[in-house]
Amino acid sequence: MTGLERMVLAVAVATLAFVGLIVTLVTLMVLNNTRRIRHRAELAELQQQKDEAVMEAEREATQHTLRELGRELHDNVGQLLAVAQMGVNTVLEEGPENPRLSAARDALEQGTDEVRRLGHDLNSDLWQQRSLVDAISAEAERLERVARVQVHLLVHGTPPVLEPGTSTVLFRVFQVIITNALKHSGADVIDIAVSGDPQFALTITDNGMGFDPERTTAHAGLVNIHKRCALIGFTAQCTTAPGGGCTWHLQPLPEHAP
Amino acid sequence: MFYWIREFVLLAMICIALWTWWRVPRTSHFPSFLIGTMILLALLVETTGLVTTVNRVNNSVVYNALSFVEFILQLGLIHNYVRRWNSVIFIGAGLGAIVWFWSISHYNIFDFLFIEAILGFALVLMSLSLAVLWRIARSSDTPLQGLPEFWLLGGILIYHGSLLPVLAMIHFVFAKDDGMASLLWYIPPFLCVLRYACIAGALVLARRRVLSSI
Repeated sequence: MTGLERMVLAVAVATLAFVGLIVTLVTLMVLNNTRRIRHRAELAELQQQKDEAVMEAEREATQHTLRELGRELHDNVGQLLAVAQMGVNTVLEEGPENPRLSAARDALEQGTDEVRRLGHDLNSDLWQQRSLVDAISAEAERLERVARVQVHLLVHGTPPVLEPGTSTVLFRVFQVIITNALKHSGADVIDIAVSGDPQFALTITDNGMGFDPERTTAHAGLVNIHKRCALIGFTAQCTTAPGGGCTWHLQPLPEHAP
Repeated sequence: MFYWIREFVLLAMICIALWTWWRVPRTSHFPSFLIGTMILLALLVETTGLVTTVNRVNNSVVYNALSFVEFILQLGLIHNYVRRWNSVIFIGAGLGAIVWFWSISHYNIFDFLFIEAILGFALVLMSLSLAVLWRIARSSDTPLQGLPEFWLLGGILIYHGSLLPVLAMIHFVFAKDDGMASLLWYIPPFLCVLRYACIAGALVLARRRVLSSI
C-alpha cells in the first residue's frame, strides 16, 4: 500500500466515523420526534376519554334530575292540580252557573294536561321506547303551541334507530339550536329535516337574522354544540350570514355512521 | 500557513464559546461552572500550545494534563444530566484512571502524548454521552435540537467518537510513517472546532431558556 493509498484509507475511515456519528444524532432526533408525536396522540386520547367521562357523568346527572323532576310533576303537582280540578267541578255542579269559574276550570284542565305531558317528556327512560324523530315531532308540536312559531318537520326515508345515548345528546343539541333560533335570531319559521337515506342527517333551518360565523366562533353555545356532537361521533356544520337565517346540518362521521 | 489558519479558527471558536458562556445568566439548573472551566482551560492550553510550538518547545505535558482535566470535567458534565448514574460514572472514571496511570508508568509525561489514555477517555466519554443522549431522546417532550444538553453531549460524542479512529490509526496503524501521522494530526483540531461550535450553540440555547423562564 502506497503512502497516498494509506492516506486515503485513513481519511475515509475518519470521515466514515464522523458521518456515522452525525447519522446517530439525526436518528436520535427522529426517535425523539416519533416518541413525542405518539405521546401527544396518547395525551389527546386520554383527554378525549376524560371529556367523554365528564360528559357521560353530566348526562347521567341531568337525566337523573330530569327524571325526578318529571316524576314529581306527574305524580305530585299533577295530582294536586287534579284534586283542585275535581273541587272546582264539584262547586260548578252544585252551585249556580259561574262563567269565571268555568274559565278557571278549563285553564286548570289545560294546566293539568300540560304538567302531565311535561312530566312524561322529562322522563329520559322514554328514549328506550321512542325514537329521535318522535321526540323531535313532539317538540315541534310543543313549539308551535307555546312559542308561536311555524315549525315544518320533514322526514326523508327511514332514519336508523340510534343508541339512546346518541339520541339524547342529539336531542339536547337540537333543543340548543332551536333555543338559539328563538332567543337570539327572532325566527318565526323553522324547518326541520330528518333524513335516513343514504345516511342519517338532521338539518334545522330558521329564517332569523343569522350571524357572522367569523365573529361568533368562540361563543360557548356554539362550542358546546360542536363538542357534544364530536363526543357521539357526529359533525355539526353551520351555514349562516347576517340577515340570511341559519342552517345547522348534523350528521355522523363516516366511521361512526350507523 | 495552513497551521496558522487552523490555530486561528480554533482560538476564534473557543473565544466565541467563551463569549456565549459569559452571556448565560448563572442558575443552578445549568452546569455553567464546568463548561466555563472547560472553555477557559482550552483557551489557556491552546494559547500555550501555540507559543510553545512557535518556540519549538515540546508541549506534550500541557496536552496530557488538559486531556485528563477535560476528561474529569466532561464526566462531571454528563453526570449533571444523569444524577442517578453514580456507579456508571464511577466505573467510567475508574477506567480513565487506569489508562492514565498505565500511560504515566510507561511514558514520560513531558516527552510523549498519552495516546492510549486519550483513546481510553474518548471511548468512555463517547459511550456515556451516547447512552445519555439515548435516554434524553426517549424521555424529552421538547425537540432535541432545542435542548442545550443535546448540543453539549452531541459535541462530546462527535469529538470523541471521531477522534477514536483517527488517533488509533496514527498511533497503531501508521506509527512507523511520521509523514502520514503528521498529516492526520490536522483532523483533531477540526473536530475541536466542531465541539466548541456545539458548545457555543448549547450556550445560546441555554441563555434563551433561562431568559424565557425569568
